[in-house]
Amino acid sequence: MKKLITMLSLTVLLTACGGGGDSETSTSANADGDTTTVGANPDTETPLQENTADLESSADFDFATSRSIAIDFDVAAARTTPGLMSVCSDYSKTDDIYDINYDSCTLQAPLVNGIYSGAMEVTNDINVVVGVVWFKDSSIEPVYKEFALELGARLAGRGAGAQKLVWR
Amino acid sequence: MRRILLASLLLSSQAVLAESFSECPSRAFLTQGAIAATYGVNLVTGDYGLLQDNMATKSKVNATGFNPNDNFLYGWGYEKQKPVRIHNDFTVEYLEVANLIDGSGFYVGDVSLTNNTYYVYRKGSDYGLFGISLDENSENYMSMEKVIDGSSLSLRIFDMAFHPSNGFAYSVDKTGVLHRIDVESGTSESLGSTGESGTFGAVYFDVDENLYISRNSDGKIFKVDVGSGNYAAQLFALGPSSSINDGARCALAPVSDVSDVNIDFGDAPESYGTYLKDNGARHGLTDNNTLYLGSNVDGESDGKPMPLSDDESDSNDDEDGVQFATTLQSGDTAVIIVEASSDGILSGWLDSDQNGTFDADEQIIIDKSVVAGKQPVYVEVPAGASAGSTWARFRLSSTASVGANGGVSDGEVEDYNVNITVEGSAVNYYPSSSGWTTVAFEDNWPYEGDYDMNDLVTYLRTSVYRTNGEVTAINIKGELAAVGANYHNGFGIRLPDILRDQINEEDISYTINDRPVIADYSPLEAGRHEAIFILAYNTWSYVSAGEDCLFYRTEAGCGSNVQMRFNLTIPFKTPVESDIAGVFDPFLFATPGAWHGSHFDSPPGRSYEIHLKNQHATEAFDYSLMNGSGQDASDPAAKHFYQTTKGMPWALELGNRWQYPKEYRDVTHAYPQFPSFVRSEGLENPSWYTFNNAVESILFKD
Repeated sequence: MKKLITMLSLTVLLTACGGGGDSETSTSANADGDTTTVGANPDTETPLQENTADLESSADFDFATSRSIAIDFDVAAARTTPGLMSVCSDYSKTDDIYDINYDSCTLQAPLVNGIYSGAMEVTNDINVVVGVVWFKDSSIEPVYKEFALELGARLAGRGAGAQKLVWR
Repeated sequence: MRRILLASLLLSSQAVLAESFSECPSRAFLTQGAIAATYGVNLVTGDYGLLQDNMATKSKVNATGFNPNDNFLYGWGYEKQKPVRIHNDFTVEYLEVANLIDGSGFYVGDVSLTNNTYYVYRKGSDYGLFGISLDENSENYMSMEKVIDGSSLSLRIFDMAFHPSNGFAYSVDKTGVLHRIDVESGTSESLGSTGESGTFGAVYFDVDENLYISRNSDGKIFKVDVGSGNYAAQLFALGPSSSINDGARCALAPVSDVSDVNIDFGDAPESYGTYLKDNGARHGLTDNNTLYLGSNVDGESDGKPMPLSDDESDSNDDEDGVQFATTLQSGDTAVIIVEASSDGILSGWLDSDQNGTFDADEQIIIDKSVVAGKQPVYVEVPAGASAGSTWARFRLSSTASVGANGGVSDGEVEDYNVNITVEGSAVNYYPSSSGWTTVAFEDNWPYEGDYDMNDLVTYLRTSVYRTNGEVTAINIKGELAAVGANYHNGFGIRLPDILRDQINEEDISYTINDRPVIADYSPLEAGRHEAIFILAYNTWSYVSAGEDCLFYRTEAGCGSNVQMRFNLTIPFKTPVESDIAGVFDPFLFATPGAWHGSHFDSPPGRSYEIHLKNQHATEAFDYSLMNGSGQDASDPAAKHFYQTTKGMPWALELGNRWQYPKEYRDVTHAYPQFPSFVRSEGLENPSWYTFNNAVESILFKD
């Protein structure tokens, strides 16, 4: 029932815009003699509306959507038993049990004598990651460490280099 | 009985029979794609299977209809802009008709049962309603006769179907109104609203006077009970979505369930044993299904090997029970996480020699007991396993000793495309192992556009493999998400600071829609110093705008599945020290020979590129174009590239599978946090591009 109402109101909306679309220029694919009302806007938007063409940016700002994070792992538990490491961003923790979504990993690597050194690129929307080390010896439980991430722009503003995640 | 019917409809691409159909089949036929392919659709379940992807044509076939008078399908063949007769192996035969009208294709058509005539229709005064008699005794046999022009009969419809007995054709227009068309007089009557709007590219009748309408954008099939006079559409099933659809069906057949969808098949490529005919791995599903991998399982009437997998085409991806907690190193231990719905027995195979089959010696999990919930499973990747992309299969059931193929009565099979690495190899995923980032372009450089940021939109995921800190291979996966441009543009990616000579060119693997690109085509651009990959010289060659639409996936109501996906694996000759990361250097270029605006005396082709702000161009670019034209304020000496006099870009990267604005809509209106991100130079609202910060109604919806 709800769906029917939604579809009916959508039909009304489309009719109000001149049928089949809400584009504002006459070259729209949906225009074929239908009237389109310029500026008609059924969307809910804030009253003060800027246009991208009016925005200004410094020449050096690069609109970055990600930042590089340095990795400096020297995991004690993996010095004697070979460890297999992942760093992932989607996980939850209940009591002391971690549930990691391994489809969200940014880095996967075997540790060499417990060590991995490198970097990873992480998008702006990620604020925390978890590192996990599995051991080839199945009798040893994996070890975990969480890291909070800083925003690249904030670090750059301070003149600092890339954040470094350290695991000892 | 059911199995036999199914098997008879599974024809190989090499079938040579050129005959009519032997019966009036219950299932509907759906023709889709820029290069025509035909699917059989079970209208009861929405389940569909590919019947033929080689219809002997390089272009679309539309306006199809089934003729019960001679049991052939008829349609409009776009390659030669002529009507076609379609044989029972789904190959097309072009028909020579008298009075063929010039010009572009029809997408509305059907065959009238009562007067044995193939009708096609297109709106507009240049077109209209035409009939081609298929009756040998008629004086108009094989002659295209105009019934009426498309201005007197003006309907925004995308297919029509003839009623089983009353001689009228029916259709539902874009606003959802049901029309009844009198093909003798060329008039129509609106009968009422069905309550559903959209592009109904495929419509079908059954013998009980029910009209089934399939919506292009989401594949939903609605049923309209025309016989009763109550025209409200009822959601009936979920089928495949496409920007180009046409449906045909023998209207004399009842709609009945001719296949068994209570089976789960795998979807690894065909050689692994996926189809029923190859004894593909399959598991029976019961009504009260309790044993499966991950959180759900969906049934198919037959295997749908990649690239046809229903995990790609319907919205239900049931490949979710296995995750890879570590890399798969050749000859070493790996850990996978398996989630089972309840206790069962798990087996698994890894095609470690990449020969396209799961051999007995490639079984990496043998009858392991698993419990409900998630658990780690330790496996050994065979020594000598070839590094690279391959497939793995996991089967959960209550039975032991299950093989890689064959049926069992319960449980689920899940197939995964995986990467085997050499020992000691590390991999960086960007943005993540299953995530996507987006590159979006305005294509009118050096002039500002409308900032809808959808002239070209590509989703990307990169993987960089390193051993001892040096790069050994790079993989780039991508999807062409939108082409909202009139210009013809290509898309390429340069690997920063990597030389062409460092690439092992002959071992590059490039697939489009999981099919290898034609032999002898190397995407590594010839004659360059740097490593530059051309994914497409002309994005319009791989996608189509769809009926009554100008662009690919940017206009409201013009949705379809993504039509072009690519997978590029780039091996290096020897390991290279490089900190290459992220989205690399993606760029738009002008298709060679194609007009790119009056600013250019002649087509600028490869010498024209657009990159992310402050990313310099490739060696193919003509830097004399950066001369302050239009709004361009590029200043190579200051390392400022591709920015306007106000510092705004022509290209943006967004760190997710970005939902872009509809055609002509401003990105700032769609994402109101964008201005503060710009003014604060990234300190405020760094996630301005995420869906929860969007004004949803301005976004394109597929």
